[in-house]
Amino acid sequence: MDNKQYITRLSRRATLNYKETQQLVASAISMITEVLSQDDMLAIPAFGTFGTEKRDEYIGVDEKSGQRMLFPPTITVKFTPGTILTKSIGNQQ
Amino acid sequence: MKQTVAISTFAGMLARQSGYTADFCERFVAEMFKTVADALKDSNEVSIKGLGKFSADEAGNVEFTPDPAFAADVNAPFECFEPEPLDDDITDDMLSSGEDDDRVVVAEEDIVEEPSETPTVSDDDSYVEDIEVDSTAETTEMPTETISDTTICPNDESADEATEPGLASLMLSSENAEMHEDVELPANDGVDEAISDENTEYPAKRRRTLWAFVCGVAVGAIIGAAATYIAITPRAKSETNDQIRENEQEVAEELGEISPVAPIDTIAVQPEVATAENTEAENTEAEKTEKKDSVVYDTVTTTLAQLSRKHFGSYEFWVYIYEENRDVISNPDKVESGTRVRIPDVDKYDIDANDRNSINKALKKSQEISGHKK
Repeated sequence: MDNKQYITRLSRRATLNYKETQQLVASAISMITEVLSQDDMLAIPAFGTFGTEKRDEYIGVDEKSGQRMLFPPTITVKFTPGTILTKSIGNQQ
Repeated sequence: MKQTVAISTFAGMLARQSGYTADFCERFVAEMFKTVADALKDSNEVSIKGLGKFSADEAGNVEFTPDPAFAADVNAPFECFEPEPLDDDITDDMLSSGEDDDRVVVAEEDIVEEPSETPTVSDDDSYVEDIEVDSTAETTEMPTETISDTTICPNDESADEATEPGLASLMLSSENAEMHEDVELPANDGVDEAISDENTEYPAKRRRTLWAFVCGVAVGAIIGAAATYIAITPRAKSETNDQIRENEQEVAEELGEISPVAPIDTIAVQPEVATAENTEAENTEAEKTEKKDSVVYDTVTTTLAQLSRKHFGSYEFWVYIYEENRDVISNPDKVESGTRVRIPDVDKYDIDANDRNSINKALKKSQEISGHKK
């Protein structure tokens, strides 16, 4: 399912028009970004938890040049699916 | 600080940014992710623009791949850094910092332990101090024979034992006292002849050190006497002044009236009281100005909840910032970014992010505010 299909389905469920739904989803994503940038976690019941994970700097080899590089630390988004979500999809499939 | 944000809190934040009610936003957010869960059952992938792609395998394991823009926003603190190429001469051993740290620690321990086997500076210090006490007692009775003996004392040894040059010079004077008692002098026939010329000059040096010692003691005694005199005399004066005042008061009471001369004290006291009152008034004014100065201001970037999180440690206390800035903020859901707001004092509203009652109180207040709006 692509973004367009998703927004269409969500707009029907939320009784909003397509544009309003799109704007509200964008606002929600920007709020999620804010919460995660504060190093906080966002827990969605029956779905999962969004959080962040910090990886320290590390040494790797550049595949193209073959040169060893020192890569900077990074903060990555981590999603932990909830048990209800995992079970419901597992049972369905 | 990791803090789990509940969906209700998140919906409140979204409501204030979007202008919808908190209840609607909570339902919308729940529906937003429920739609994803339902879509994952139908198709194995759901991609949301700006957030990322959710994919599920047959076992029901859900994986999330964040959108590049979303990942970049979250990684904003380290976005400015880029991978740096390493020089060839830098080996893996040099970069494995953890192992290097251990090695350094071990090496430092070795370094510290080794000197402890040999006599250390502190040992020498105590040795010198002990001898100095003895030498002060014995220097006055120092026989001339011992002086001649001590000249043979091995200076090389003292130089080796004493690690500092200052100690070496101290040892010269102090060791002399002990060496003539404890150390049996080796047979130094040849050395005696060589040193015999120096023996004639040594008593003069010894006298000089004695004179220096005596002068030092005398100067110390004078300074001590002066210090005690300075320390004692003001107290005595103040005591005598108090006694005089008491006597004057007693005399005045006996006479039944206070003599006109007596107001010298009262005159002297009154300005003190006045000045004391003035200083108290100044202090209170200073406290007030300090309190005024201690008012914290901040600028709204996105929402009041973010400010609340920043200053109070939790998102829920935004209501108090709103209460404090009702004159500036007309609608808490739509605060223009860049608005300068006063951050209230924590004690004023009993704000405590660790106290569940305090958070519930703030939530209740936020519901009241949203109820007024409707």
